[in-house]
Amino acid sequence: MSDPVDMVDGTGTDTAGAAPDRHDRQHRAEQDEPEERDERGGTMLLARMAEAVYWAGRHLERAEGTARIVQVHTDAHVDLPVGEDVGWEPLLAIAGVDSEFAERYQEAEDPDDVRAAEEDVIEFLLHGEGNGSSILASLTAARENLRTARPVVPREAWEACNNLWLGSHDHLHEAHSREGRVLWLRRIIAGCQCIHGILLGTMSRDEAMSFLVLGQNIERADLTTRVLDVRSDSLHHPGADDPYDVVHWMAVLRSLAAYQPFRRAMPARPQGGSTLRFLLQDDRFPGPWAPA
Amino acid sequence: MDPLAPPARPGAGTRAWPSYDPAPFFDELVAPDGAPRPSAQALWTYFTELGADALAERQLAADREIRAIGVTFTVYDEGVGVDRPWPFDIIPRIIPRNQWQVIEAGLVQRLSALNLFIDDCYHDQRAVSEGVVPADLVSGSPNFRRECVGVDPPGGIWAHICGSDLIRDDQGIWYVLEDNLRVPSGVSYLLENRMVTKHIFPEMFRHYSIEPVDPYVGRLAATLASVSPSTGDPTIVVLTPGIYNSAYFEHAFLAQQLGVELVEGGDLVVLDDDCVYARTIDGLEQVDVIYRRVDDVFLDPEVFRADSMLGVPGLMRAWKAGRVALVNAPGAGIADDKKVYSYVPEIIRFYLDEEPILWTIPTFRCSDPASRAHVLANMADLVVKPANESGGYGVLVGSQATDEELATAAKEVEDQPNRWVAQPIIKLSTAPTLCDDAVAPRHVDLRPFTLMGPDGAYVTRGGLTRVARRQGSLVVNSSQGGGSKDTWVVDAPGDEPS
Repeated sequence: MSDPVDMVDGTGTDTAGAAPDRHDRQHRAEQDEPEERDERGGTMLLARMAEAVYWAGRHLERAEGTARIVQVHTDAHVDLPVGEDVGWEPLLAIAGVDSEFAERYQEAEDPDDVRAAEEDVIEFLLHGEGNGSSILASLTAARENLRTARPVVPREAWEACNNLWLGSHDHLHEAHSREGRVLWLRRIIAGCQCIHGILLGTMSRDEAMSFLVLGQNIERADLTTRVLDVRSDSLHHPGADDPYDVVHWMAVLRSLAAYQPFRRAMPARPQGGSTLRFLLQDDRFPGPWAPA
Repeated sequence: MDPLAPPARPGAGTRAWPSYDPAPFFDELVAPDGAPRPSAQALWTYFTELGADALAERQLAADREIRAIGVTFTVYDEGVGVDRPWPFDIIPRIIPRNQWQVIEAGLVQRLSALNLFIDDCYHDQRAVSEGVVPADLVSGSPNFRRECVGVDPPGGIWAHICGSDLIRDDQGIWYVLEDNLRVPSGVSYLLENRMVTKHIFPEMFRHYSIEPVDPYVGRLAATLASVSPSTGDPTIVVLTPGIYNSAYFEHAFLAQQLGVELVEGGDLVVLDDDCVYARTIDGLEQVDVIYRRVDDVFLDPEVFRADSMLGVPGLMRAWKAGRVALVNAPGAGIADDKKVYSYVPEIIRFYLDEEPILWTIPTFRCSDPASRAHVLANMADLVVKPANESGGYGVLVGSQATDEELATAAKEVEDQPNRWVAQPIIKLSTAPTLCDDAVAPRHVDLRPFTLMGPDGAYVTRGGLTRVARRQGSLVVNSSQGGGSKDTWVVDAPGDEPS
């Protein structure tokens, strides 16, 4: 199979007679030789910008992912009978902030009640001080990175992110009730999806895009493994007839926006084996992007 | 003729701003009899029909949009930078096109002469030897860069981008107040203001044929490319001091609009071949043109301030070797101080053999004993300014100063006369401005931007109108709490002197 680049070039693997590419130019620069002009001028990407878009991608994905996990956990929580539920700690474990949480809240807790209070966990995950991975902290970091990377990202993407950041602060006080929280989280998820859509629809298919996608995919892979790690631990009992087993696995799929794709791919009832296979191996499970 | 100007003036009861009275100042939109100037007639009618509530609503919508698109500037309060939304007043300012054409010619004339002057300063200093300006004005200036002597930038152009400050007095006469040749900012706000106005008042654009402002970006790109030392497609970058600079928004905006990288000093390196390279993901790539938004003294720690973290070691070497273009060229600031300002009419006559098109404000140089005596005796009626600052810092408006402030200023003038100049207080023109839901006259100035390269010059159509938001205040700088307005150059009969 021939490489399309080589076909355009017409030189196959032999680049001796071809116009110098950017690597050539770099090489010459380091050797202090006269410069050849880059034929695709204007496409250079500063290393610092690459870093900024990479982290913008990661933080955006983290904000959305965390919002989704909190949302889904809240939904699943109300399906389970009181006393059967798994509490709110798994959320802290998934986010990897259990020790930070303990530092902030443990002393204030009622010593008789070892379980973390819903309000505290939610607050910590949404905007808690000392939680660098909170939804708001992630959005703030995404915004700062997009701001740095403004020259290489579409203007509308920066504006959407800025708007989401402003709105999430303006409405934060509403997120303290379960009701308000649903709306607030929905706004975050929709806002992040809007930004993804803008990027996918309007960003140049260049190296900056590749770094952004790289950041998003790494974050998503990270999140997927975290969710599975924590959930399989808490689900590690062989109760195949447990009616709530299905609820738990559906929650796992939903928190990764994988429920509907899973259903289409594997009409079987969700349970450990098929879910894991789907999330880890099935290429029909969408990442945020098809590979650029 | 304005095709849509209504035949008669609206009746008194339906006036947009019933109590609007700019006297004793010249108002940009309203004639002394309270009627709109011809060019403002359609706008006046539009606002009359809109009503006060709708106007306030539009202002809210504008504020929301500015916040959402993230147009900010940074102010420093006790060392901490805070991003403020860009303050914008929705009532546009209007300038008739025939008047603007004169201003445009005047600005190009001025910048042409200043470029010849700068080039002369770093070569034969004919202006000094022929007695046009004193030697001290050049070699004694803190903006004179010895390192630039003998350098020949392409086309002899040193100041490629100039942000002039224009004002009008109580007769409506235009004056140039400052020629900002170092790193003038504001053009991004000019462009954004127009976009917001288009979104807030799309209907109004039907009544006017307004000169677009967007072509500036293309002209800027062309100007930058035209000074590239290499043939072929040049690699252009914008050099910013970084995210904490008060004009960072503009730096990012311009880089984005130009489609070029926004670099910081640390992203660039100068190698032994005297070429400048950017650190990219593919390794080092050569840079041809740097639109630098970093002051001279921070540009190159090898030559200027050794402690500068913002610059690029070796950058001056690369520039002098002709391997990279710097825009504006280092040393261009020699023509940007208030003492040189006072000589600009002579500078224009000397280099161009033309009469100045635009007025310069009579300026007293405190280094001159007779002028100093005059300044000290009349301080309450003068504006006293440091010869070398920009951004409105250190400016004392005599009529608005306390006795104590006057005494302090007098002492400073006596101690360091060289540092100070004084000008008569110009009664700045006003424009209708939305203040606490009522429309009131507020003082304005105008900052147009002029581009100049070997291939020609370009002036923005209109400029950034800055408005002092407090009643009676003459200070329009955004660093000092000023606002801004969209500015329209329109096809309409001129009704004012230019």
